Amino acid sequence: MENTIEFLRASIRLTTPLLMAALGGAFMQVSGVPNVGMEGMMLIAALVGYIFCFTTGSWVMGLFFGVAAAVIVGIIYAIFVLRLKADIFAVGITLNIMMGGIAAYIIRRYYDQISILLSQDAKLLPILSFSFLDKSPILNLLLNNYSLLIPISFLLVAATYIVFYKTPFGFWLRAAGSNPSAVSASGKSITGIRLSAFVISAVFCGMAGVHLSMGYLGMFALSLVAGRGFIALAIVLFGSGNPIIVLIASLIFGIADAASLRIPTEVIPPQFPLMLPYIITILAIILMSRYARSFTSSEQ
Amino acid sequence: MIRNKYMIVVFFLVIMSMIAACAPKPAAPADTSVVAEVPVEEAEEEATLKVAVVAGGEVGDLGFIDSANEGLERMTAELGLETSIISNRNDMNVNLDVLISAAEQADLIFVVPGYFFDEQLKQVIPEFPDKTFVYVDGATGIEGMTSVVFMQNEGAFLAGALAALLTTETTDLPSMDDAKKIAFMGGADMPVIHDYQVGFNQGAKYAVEDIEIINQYAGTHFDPAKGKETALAIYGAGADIIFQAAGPTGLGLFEAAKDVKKYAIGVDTNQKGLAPEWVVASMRKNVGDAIFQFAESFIAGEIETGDVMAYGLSKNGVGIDYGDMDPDLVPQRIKDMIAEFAQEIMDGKIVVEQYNQ
Repeated sequence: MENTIEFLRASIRLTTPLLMAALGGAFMQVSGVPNVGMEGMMLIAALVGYIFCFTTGSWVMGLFFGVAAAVIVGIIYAIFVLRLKADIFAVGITLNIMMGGIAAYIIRRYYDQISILLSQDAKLLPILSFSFLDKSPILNLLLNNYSLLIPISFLLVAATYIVFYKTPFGFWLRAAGSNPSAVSASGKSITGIRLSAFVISAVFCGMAGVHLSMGYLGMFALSLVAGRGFIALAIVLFGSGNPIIVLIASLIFGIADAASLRIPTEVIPPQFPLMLPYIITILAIILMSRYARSFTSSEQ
Repeated sequence: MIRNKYMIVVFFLVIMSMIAACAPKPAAPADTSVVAEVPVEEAEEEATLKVAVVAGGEVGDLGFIDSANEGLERMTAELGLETSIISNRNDMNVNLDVLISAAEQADLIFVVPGYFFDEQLKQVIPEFPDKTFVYVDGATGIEGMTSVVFMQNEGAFLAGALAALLTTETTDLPSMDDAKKIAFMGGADMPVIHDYQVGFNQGAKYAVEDIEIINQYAGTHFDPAKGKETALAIYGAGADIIFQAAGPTGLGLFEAAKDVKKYAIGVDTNQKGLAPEWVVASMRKNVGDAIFQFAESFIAGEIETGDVMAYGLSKNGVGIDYGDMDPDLVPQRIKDMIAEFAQEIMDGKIVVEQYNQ
């Protein structure tokens, strides 16, 4: 019983960073621009957030500045894509590489460290504990005592769903993706709608990054994001930006990961379970690449 | 035209990020571009031996490369050799180029770790027949390759014995429970990691016969978050102490140890500082000492191309490092027992098994 609960908790922990980033990616996806720069946004937010949480001794400052750093990257990304009409994939990948370089530079130049940053003064994100869950031991074990952004990421699924399908902003957002010329004809600015999608997307990716360093691991490492930005992109493409499908796909990845870490090495060679998330990624990209291409051509 | 302008801007961004990555590092003189510009012809008639380390990673890895760098610093200070370190900056695509640039400007080239450079070495060695290439951490059948191997199984044997003895000593460490359960956590599933596993298991069973051992792999060397999750899964299965051999993935173990208040054993370098209250010791692989001793033997003319030099407990190639930091978690009598096991291994009374592929 305890093992099952610990397995479910691990699944939830492994799902969260993917889910949060993928929800952000969904905002851009439905507005017609895939977010390829999630890896870089997460990395820079993880670094800046961690630096602020140990220099100021406040997790609020860490969260705020980490997300702010990601938003700055998001705005730069938006300027290149929306204003300078640059190719979204080229700029996104460039930003990812550049953030890796900047992160390496900052920790070397200012902290004399090369691959990790670890401070005893770091004030990490708080662990949430709800007293009303204490009454049921199972719910208490399963749902209590998570780092702040884990429950928030699940709440954001509902929030994203409501924004997409129940608000005027959501309708404009989706219209900008599915029929940009109709949006232009009705007098709305496509650029404005997409810019807000870039910013919201960066906020979500920023929170995902901050969660990795300040919530999940408690340290910063250059290899911290470890491709999660790209898996998140695959999840977004897989669900065409639908938050419910994004949630399901993120859970599949999280559960597959948690399971792969628990299958004894003697039973199945560890490579096989570990392949699973990547096989899903490749399949998703193959399935969705047709869709992505037909979209780009309709835009020009 | 607009597209061209933007291409230029993107190009600049890429260049900028590369410059950022090549930024000056106060601690380590490891800039590939600068090193590559030194003309070979400038070597003087009676030149000192030039030594280079080709690093399949970066200085600051808190592991192999840092240790190799220490070895180079000792060579400069104590043997007066001219040394340099050339890193591939975790980019396997430039492996061939960093090898060639090292071969052009040094006589003795340590490739750390060798197994990242197998294919490139096959190409480069025939082109530089008068240079000595040393494959660090493993022996291969590549023609003209000299090798340094570590008896990591011997070090891991001691780590296993230490873990097993500590978990049965419930009185000294408050977070140890009564279950006699310890664990080994590997990173990527590679032969060299299995060598750690074999040694660890043998050592644990030698010290405490009825010990139960969990062996689990995270499957990757480069994802600390997954390392933490793997460690949590192992602690959740009842282990009190985990020994990791998982590169950067292994860093996650120390965070997990802090979270659940259980114990850990570090690897390769002294990792006590990462979680002083929970790291009992580290199994060091002294790449620096080994390549330093190798350079000494090389200068003395004791090494011929193709030799395989093994550095185990006896040559201080591996060992247990309790870390000079409070709190010291290991009682003196257990340290004495570990020292005794080490002596028995060096005397050949204990034969530590190796992993056979």
